[in-house]
Amino acid sequence: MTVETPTTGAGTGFEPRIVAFICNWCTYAAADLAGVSRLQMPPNTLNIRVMCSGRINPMLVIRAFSQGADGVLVSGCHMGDCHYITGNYYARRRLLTLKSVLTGIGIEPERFRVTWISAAEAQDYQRVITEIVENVKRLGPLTLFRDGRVVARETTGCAEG
Amino acid sequence: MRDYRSESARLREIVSGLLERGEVELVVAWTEGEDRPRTRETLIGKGREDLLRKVVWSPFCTTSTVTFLKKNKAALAGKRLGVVVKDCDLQALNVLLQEHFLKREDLVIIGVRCDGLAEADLFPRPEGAEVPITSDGGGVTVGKQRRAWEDSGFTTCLTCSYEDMKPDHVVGEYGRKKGKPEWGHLARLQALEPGKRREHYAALFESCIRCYACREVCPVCACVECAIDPGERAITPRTAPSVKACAPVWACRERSVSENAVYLLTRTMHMAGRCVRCGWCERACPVGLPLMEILDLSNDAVRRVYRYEVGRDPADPPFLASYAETDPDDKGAGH
Amino acid sequence: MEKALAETGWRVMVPSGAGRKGGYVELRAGGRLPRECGDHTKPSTPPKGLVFPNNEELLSYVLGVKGEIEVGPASHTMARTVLYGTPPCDTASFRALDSALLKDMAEPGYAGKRGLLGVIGMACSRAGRWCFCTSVGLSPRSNIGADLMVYPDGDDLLVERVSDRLDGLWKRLEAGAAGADEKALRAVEGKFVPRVLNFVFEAEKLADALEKAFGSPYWKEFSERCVSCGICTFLCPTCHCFDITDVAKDELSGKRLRTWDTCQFPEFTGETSAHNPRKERWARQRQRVLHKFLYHPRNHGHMMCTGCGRCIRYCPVDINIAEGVMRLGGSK
Repeated sequence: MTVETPTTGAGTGFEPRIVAFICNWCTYAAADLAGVSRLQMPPNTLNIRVMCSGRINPMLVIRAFSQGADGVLVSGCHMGDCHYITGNYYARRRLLTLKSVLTGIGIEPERFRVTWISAAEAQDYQRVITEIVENVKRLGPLTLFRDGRVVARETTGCAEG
Repeated sequence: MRDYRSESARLREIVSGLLERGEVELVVAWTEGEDRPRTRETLIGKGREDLLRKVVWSPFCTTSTVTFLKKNKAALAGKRLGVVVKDCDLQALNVLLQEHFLKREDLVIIGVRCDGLAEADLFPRPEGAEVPITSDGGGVTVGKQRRAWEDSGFTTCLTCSYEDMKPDHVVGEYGRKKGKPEWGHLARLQALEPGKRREHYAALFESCIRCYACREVCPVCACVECAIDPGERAITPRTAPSVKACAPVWACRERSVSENAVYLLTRTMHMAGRCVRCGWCERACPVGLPLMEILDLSNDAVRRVYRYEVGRDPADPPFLASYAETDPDDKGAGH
Repeated sequence: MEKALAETGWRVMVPSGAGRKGGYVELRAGGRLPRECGDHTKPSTPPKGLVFPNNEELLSYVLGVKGEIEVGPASHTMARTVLYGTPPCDTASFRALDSALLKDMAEPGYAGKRGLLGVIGMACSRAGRWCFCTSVGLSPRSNIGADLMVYPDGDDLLVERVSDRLDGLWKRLEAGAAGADEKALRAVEGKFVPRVLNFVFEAEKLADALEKAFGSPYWKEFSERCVSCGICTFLCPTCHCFDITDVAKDELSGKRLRTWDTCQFPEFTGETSAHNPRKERWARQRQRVLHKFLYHPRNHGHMMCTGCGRCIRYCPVDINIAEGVMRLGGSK
């Protein structure tokens, strides 16, 4: 059983690791614009560009958390603006169902965010990133999946007994 | 009061008739097991009087004939089949039909109206050839022993609300009003604050031995090659080595909280809008994991938030393969 | 007994809880030892996990900055442990496991731990619906696999010395109580009466019969409803098949892990060419039955099955190994 030690609060030096899956056409462009506009944001996100939020398999989010992410963000185009027409609609249903499951097992809702940010909305991107990092910093590291190791990848050797 | 002896007799008539008239080649039905009142799914062909004689319907038909269909899909392909189904089995069958896993025209569906299931091992072995099994709104009786539904070992049945089956043939009348019960087990868990909930689920994840029984018995877990640690790989001697080498490993074989959680949570998501809450995964689990406590997290969202009825009709679109403009958004901290 | 065990300072593992929620757990300081054992106190998980864990690190590796690889062996050891209160079906499982994993070549992971385990078996006072230890040459009083055997008699405990492994403990006990001699044992026989079953498996006759039945069409019928879940093998006290996986912690380090595997999974015999000699469920079930009643007996001289009944009780689709064996070669 995992034991939770308090690591929240100012001065503990905890820097959250957030994985952000952002769609190429909208949110990634917003992130780019935010960068070019020199909008300041905490650097705690590991940004992963995907072509569409609809590409996000819930297993990616689950695996991100189980591998040590303290928070996950998925962000795509606004409803009706998806480059692939309907990708974000499927993503919304799929990922919000996933969120019900994750909050149900005790992962605070602030840790997993699903947002829709268009290419021009650099300030919204700045706001969302800042929010999630600050919220997760306040909540502390996610210890539910910690068995004291982080597994990056695995190769399978076979032997029979 | 329901008398399962006479319902079984009626069922035997229907099954015999279908086989005699050649409407089906084979029937998947429950027969009395060696260890009564346990039952077992059996494949019955024409002329198998020895098996037909043992065809039974009772609250001890606790397995799913749909699981039998999924496991034997290749062997039964192209054959016209009769299948006896309870309410949850029919829901599961509808899910598989929605996904075109099975063809409706290959099947003759014989429904048995189910009030709930009971654990055979909680009742003494009945003596004698005739096993009087009856039930009513309150419980099940085998011979002289009666147990309330709540004490019969199948808690998921208590929160079943399915009473709308539309099969080709039907046996039995409902003896228990199901209604739309509250899922108290879930409400109690969700009332705990996140830290306590994490502890609870971490203990659950830790105890899993990754036997995958939950996946194998599930009537809707039917993928030939499971995404997680496949029991069977969809490869042939012609599959290119590069394809075999690049098969992703989503969850390592290590039995640990993180890897077990990946398996259990992924299965939950793959069940979203497909789980018929038959509860067999939980009953089969050799280490007694309360699996419905995870699955119901998605089942609850599906019924309460999205108002989607699982397995209602083969023509319904699958839950995750559809969307609505009214689907809710992430409310941020408050979702 | 509690006092003597506490004095040794060893870890004491006892069965706790019956059925699916039970397991073999460490006795807490000041805790009471079980006073009886039977099917009603038997956990669903067998004690094999103490010496053959589900997760076992076989070695670890670290890649150094100059490309050198440092391989660290795992420590195949554990605290000195006494397993107390196993019913004869679980006690006898150690005989089968020892034959399979120590004979000819000692498997390091198993050997390292087995040498540190003492087994105190307990006579069984209540058979379950699915028990059939008497059909496989055991009995509720069988001490096969035990180092010490205890026979609970009300508040008393009759202790029998079976092997020399726990002699240190035995001497401590002798000081306090009388040992079990023939007379004393006969006196308590009545408490541990075997349930009368209508079938008995004679090891050699059965092995021959099963060998002849290799091509029988019955295997298909026997396995018709099998779902290859593996529960029968995971819960079997003598099954010990395993899988080996290399797990990378990061680019530079990792470990080699052994986990339980089962002959019932299709991929157990899957080869890289995609050929699978046991692609069908009946071929895998046949393997399981024959391993227990033909191959192991021929190789080691005793049936691998101990009649605990777990595979029958917990099989989700009511497949009964005793029933199958009876059909193919058991005798009444």
